[in-house]
Amino acid sequence: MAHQILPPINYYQTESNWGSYQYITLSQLVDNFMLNYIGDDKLLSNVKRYNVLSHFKRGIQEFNYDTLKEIKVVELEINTNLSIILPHDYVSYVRISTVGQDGLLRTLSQNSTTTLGAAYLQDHEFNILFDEDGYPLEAEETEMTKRYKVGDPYQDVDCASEFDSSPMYGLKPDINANGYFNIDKRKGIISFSSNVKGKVIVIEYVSDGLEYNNGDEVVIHKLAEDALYSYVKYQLLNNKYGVQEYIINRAKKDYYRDLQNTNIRMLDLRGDELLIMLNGRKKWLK
Amino acid sequence: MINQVYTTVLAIINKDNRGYISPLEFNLYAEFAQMSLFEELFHKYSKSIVKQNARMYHSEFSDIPKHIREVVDIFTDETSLTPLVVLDPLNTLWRPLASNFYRMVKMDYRLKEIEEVSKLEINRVLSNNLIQPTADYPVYVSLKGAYRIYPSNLTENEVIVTYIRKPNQPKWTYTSVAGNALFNPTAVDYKDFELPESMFNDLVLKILGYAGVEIREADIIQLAQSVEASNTNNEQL
Repeated sequence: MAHQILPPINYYQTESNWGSYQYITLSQLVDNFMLNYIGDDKLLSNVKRYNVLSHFKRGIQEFNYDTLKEIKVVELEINTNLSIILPHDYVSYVRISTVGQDGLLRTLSQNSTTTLGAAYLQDHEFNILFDEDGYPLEAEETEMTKRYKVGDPYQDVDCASEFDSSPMYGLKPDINANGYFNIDKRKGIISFSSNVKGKVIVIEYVSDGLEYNNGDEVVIHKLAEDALYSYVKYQLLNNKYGVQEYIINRAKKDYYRDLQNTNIRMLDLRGDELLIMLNGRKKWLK
Repeated sequence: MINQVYTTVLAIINKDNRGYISPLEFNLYAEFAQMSLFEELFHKYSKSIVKQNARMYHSEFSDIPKHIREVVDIFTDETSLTPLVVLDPLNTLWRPLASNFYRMVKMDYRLKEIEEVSKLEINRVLSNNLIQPTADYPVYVSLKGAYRIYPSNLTENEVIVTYIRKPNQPKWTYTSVAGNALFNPTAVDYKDFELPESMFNDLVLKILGYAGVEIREADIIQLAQSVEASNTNNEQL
């Protein structure tokens, strides 16, 4: 339950209400917009609610990718194939890590020297084999993936331990002793290097905010509310026939201004924290 | 008001012994006139909104859209739905449970408006992940004078239709006394005009127009038309 003005006792006694005051629901956004922005005496009239809803959902998606910073975290255990399935609402990752013995995260790197693709089956004369519909037959696993899973990065010349004490230390900044991962977006899996075997994986990722699809479950932070109204207003005016260009431009400026404000607000910058960070610059590195 | 309208019409028509309209004829014209003025209200309302947005109408006494809305509101009512055709539970057609239904204003389900979608767009709406109809965002399409509502699993007795009803047929009732029709408002079938007192003049002029045609009196028709035209001109200022 989000954004309801509850008596404090109800709030504290129901776990699902905790923190809900930060958010506003999609249905409230749509109702507010229909009430305040659409009407005979307003810039927008004769607009269908499903158009408004569609733009709100697109806006929520866009805002979730970079403005809202609603990072979701999921912990998964890796299977024997050294892979895990992407979370159902995954859009893009922020960080993928393993959990150390101390409970802290060890960040993994994406391996740029291998990739997850398809392997076409070939006959003894190296001709590609096709199925009855004329499409190439594919192997279950590519040779690259097989070797990648079996290989031990610590034995590899590129591994971190090799470099740590050598004069070449630092020449390859992408080397990571914690391990590597690769994402096959189409198949929806993440594969890991063999040194990650048996470890617990933590995926920090962004979703599009619509994983609950409708109603009161779809929420956005109140700090982004105004920017979202401006986004929908601009999109509707921009797609409406006969609206003067200066009105569209005004709506566009409003939107960019509100988006910028939201971006600044969502940065979570606080004076005292900045002060502590800036104090650090006075330290001499020896 | 109906008696005042009838006596005024008769007074104008009878001047210089031009003619007479019987109660039967008057009742017929009264119904036509009321329906005609009622239908004009919607067009007037639309025009008045345009004028209000152009700052030609203002608040309080010059809030013309509000005045028109108040008249139409006399005829607004609420009802529920009843099935018209049950093809299968998913495709039931519903019609409002009201015999005097004239126009739909809106349809609500648990305080959420059921929005109309055109027949051209309904399939796109149904197959679109972002705007698929739900109990929070229900939609309907009109078909055969009835409605198909999506999603189909809404509890129909929770759907409330707000509609504009047809005005009741006015009837000037009388008793015959010495061959003369004497107004009798206590008759069972007596029905006054439902349009408000403010539309008295309009009703008289409309009925005069019809009566003038009947008695073939060009002066009467001309009078009715010229006053009506002058009223329209005043409204357009």
